[in-house]
Amino acid sequence: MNPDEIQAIIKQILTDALQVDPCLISDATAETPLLGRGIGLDSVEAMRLGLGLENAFAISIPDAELTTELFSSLGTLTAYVQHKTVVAGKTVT
Amino acid sequence: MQTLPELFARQTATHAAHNAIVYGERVLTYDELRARVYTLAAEMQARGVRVGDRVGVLFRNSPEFVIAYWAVLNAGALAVPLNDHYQQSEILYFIDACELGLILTNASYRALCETVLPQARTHCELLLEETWDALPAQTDWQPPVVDPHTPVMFQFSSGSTSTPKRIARTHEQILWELDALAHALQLTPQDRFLGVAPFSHVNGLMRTMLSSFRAGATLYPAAFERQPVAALIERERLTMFIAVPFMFITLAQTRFERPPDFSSLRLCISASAPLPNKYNREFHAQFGHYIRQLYGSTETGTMSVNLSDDIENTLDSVGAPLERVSFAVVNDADERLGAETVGQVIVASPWAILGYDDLPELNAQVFRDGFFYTGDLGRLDAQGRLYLQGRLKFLINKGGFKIDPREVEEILEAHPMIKEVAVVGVPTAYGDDRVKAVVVRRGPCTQVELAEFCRSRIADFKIPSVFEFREEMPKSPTGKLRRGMLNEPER
Repeated sequence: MNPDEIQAIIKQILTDALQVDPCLISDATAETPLLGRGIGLDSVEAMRLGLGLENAFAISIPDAELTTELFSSLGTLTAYVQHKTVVAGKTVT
Repeated sequence: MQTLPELFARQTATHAAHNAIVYGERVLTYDELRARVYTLAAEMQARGVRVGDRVGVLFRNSPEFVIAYWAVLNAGALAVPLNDHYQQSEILYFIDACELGLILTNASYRALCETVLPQARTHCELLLEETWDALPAQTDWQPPVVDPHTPVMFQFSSGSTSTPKRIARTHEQILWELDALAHALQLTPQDRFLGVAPFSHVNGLMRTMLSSFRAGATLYPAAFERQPVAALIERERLTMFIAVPFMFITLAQTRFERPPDFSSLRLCISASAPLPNKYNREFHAQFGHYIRQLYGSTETGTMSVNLSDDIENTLDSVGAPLERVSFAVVNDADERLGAETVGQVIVASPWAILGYDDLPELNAQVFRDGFFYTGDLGRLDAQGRLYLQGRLKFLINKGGFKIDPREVEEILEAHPMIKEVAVVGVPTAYGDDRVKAVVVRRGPCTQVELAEFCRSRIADFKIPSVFEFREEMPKSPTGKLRRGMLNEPER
């Protein structure tokens, strides 16, 4: 799965499960921060995004890795998910 | 035993060698806890803290929160637990509203506090945890005498007014509630409590931190992180898990590499927001326990817990009232309604407050004839179990934290590019709300700018995550905002 496809699924989780404003999501690029000045997720929503990623990509994310740095941009998160899926050797469903 | 310092003296003597707190590698017995608490209380006295003074407690869930809280009470002062998400303006508000003369905290919050202290109306100092180890140990210190009918702490409740309403509960009320909880939950010294619900909030404070102490049990303060928390429950064979829906839902949805063993848990109890059945069943499927819902508020303390033997068929219920508490459901004309009819829930309880501080008009509306009018909608079944069905008052529930829309609106109204703003909750699939601001602009401004404007002014959980820009607000012919229409598309 390439980064664009992963990013599209992350965006879908943000709009469907977290109900983030679709306008914000459509404008988001790899540089858009997910916390604070950006998508504006708080710590509860970041945890919910983590859960959504685990289920969508069949990966396990330790809470110790759900850091501010991980959510620093959509691109950072995308790269992390790609790495996780490769390491786990998972086929994304 | 009539006061909390008396309870403290009794429990620390009775259970002296028993573990009071376990925090990673750190273990404090009840005797060691007493020594730490009396040492800190004596230092507070030496700094001039007197009976009836107000002292803030600002820590995450940790042994230091417990030590600080008990030290304040033993010094005869009123404790004001502060949420560790608060930003400058909120800390300043609480310093002024409670006339805090001292805040017990640590280096993590020092810069935040020192920024606001010069702006406070009263002189307020910090006593940092990093200095506590150097304090002279107190072996013969005795707490001052306090009146059981006087307030022991200030807490705050959101809703109806733009600023949080101050609530003062007495020693007697707190002890009565703790007795009722200990009795209903059949707590014993063998219980081991997971301490993940924030101790600064009524749920974590009363039903975890103080209930553990009241039982002579062991408290395990912890940050809510899924894998470490699951490992802690399994390794330490914890028995009591009292938290908020967000935490139970998160665990229920987590894909653990190996399913953790939660068989030691005796009770899982959720409070502060409704827990949808879907997640309760998922939690049961994964961990073998149904979560029991508890009903309480800052004004009334705990009112009920669903301890039904028929939990599988009553998951939605918050249970029948605790002993000495009574419920009724009334209509708009204040007439009592029969079973299965939805109306406003009103509650009478010996440990409920009799009114807010300094709000006589509001008190006349919501404290009437010995009942507190909760603003919650609900129905009673034929067995007297309560089922909540929403709220009359406009309050937003974010992961268990209640947010008053007016507080957020007032922050945004100060932005020069905002002409009008209204804040509402948008229901999520998790049973709580997202915070949405509907904005009529005076000039150009973006969602990102407005969120940033809020960031240094209010706690992160209060900041709107959705901003909707409109040409005008939906209003009635008389010009009153139609708040209920703010979640509908603009016409």
